[in-house]
Amino acid sequence: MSTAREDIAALIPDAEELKGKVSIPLEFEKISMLAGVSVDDALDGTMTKLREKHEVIPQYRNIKEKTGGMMYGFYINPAVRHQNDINKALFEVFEEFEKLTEEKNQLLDRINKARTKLERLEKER
Amino acid sequence: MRIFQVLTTLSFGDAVSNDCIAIKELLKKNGYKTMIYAENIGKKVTDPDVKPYNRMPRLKKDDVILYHLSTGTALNLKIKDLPCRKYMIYHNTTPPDFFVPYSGKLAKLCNNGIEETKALKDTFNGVFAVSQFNADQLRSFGYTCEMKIRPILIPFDDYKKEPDKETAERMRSDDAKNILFVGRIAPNKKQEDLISLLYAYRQMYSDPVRLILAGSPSGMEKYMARLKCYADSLGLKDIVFTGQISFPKILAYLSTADCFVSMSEHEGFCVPLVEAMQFNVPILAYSSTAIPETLGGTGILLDSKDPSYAAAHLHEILNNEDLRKKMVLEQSERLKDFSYENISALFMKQLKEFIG
Repeated sequence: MSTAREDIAALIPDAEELKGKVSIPLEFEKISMLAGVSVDDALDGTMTKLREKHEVIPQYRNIKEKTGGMMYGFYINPAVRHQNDINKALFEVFEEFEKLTEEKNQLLDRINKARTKLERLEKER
Repeated sequence: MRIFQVLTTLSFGDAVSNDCIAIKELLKKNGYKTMIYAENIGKKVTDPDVKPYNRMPRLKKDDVILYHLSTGTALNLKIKDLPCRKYMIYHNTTPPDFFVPYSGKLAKLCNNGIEETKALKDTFNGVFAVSQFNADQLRSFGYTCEMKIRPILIPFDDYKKEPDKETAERMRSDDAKNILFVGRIAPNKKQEDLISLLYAYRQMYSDPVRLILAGSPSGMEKYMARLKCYADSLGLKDIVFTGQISFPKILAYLSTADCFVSMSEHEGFCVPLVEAMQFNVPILAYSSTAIPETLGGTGILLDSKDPSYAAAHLHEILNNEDLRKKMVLEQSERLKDFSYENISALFMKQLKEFIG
């Protein structure tokens, strides 16, 4: 009894001639490393970094503040607090942007599906 | 006598970690005192028998170390000086050239892995190689110790778990056939060749197909971004990049796949091929490294990566019911060779031959 490998070789006798039948318009090597970084990926990277750092750890600027902090609890200097506020606001903007990007991707996905279906129907017709 | 398995990273879901845990369970079942010591332990690992490497107890002469080698790590140097019998379980290291454009760090690790493997040639009392391909590579590195071929131990009961319903329903929601590849997003796996295969297929045939690339891009984000850009440039925006997914989701993709296609250029064993066999999914694979050996004469092997040539084979597999049935039947026979019972019996026999 023949094997599946023997069967497929008999089913596609002209397999060798098929080589190069479809020419791929773009080679993978032609995609530059820079082109490979999409807006979404860049956003992901920024968001990850921001999530890690958006809360600035209170720091003491000098021994006076450190002593004050030890005596009266944590001292948050105004500059740090201000930076935290900015980060928080920026984070909200990014979150909104992320949400909108997700919605955009979902819509693009639906458009692609519809386009594929349309192309298939056209071919069938 | 105690048997300790040592490896650099024990995490959730990768083939080396799964093999290590399966061996631990097997050793315990056979009455051995055993533990796993790893340099890095994944957050999801909760097994109490897994401990950090620096907590390994003082070794006695009759203890046995089973060392899983798969990459460059400081452990490769430390293992040399352990005062007991040492056996290596060799999983192979990916050639660094694949990673050079994407991660210098990873390329260096792989390069170190190969150099360190060569330097360890006189360290071990014996080697378990997961394939003949791996054993041949060690011989070419100058290893002269006894080697035994022992395929990866796969606990198939895990695959009987319930697949993720939502994913399975989504994959069956239309009449498109699912072409699946499971494996890390990595340059040696050559996912770009699967993308060009899909392009050629759509140019040549009208039946709807969907490509699913199931695997984590962790550490290879640049390569992933390049793949996405390539797919976009070819107008293939519907390719499913799953990213890191849960085991039930992997089961859902396997259970709904119509063909498993691999264009990988470097595999020391390739567990996903066996997974495809388990789920009765016909396999089409480019013939490289250990892949022909794991397939053992089953599945369809491609000797060329030409997209049109591969697409013609894929079309035949997807649409010829008799061929599919024969492929699945042959693969089921091959699967028996990898059954948990067979491999565990083989491993215990080989281990006893090694350690007495």
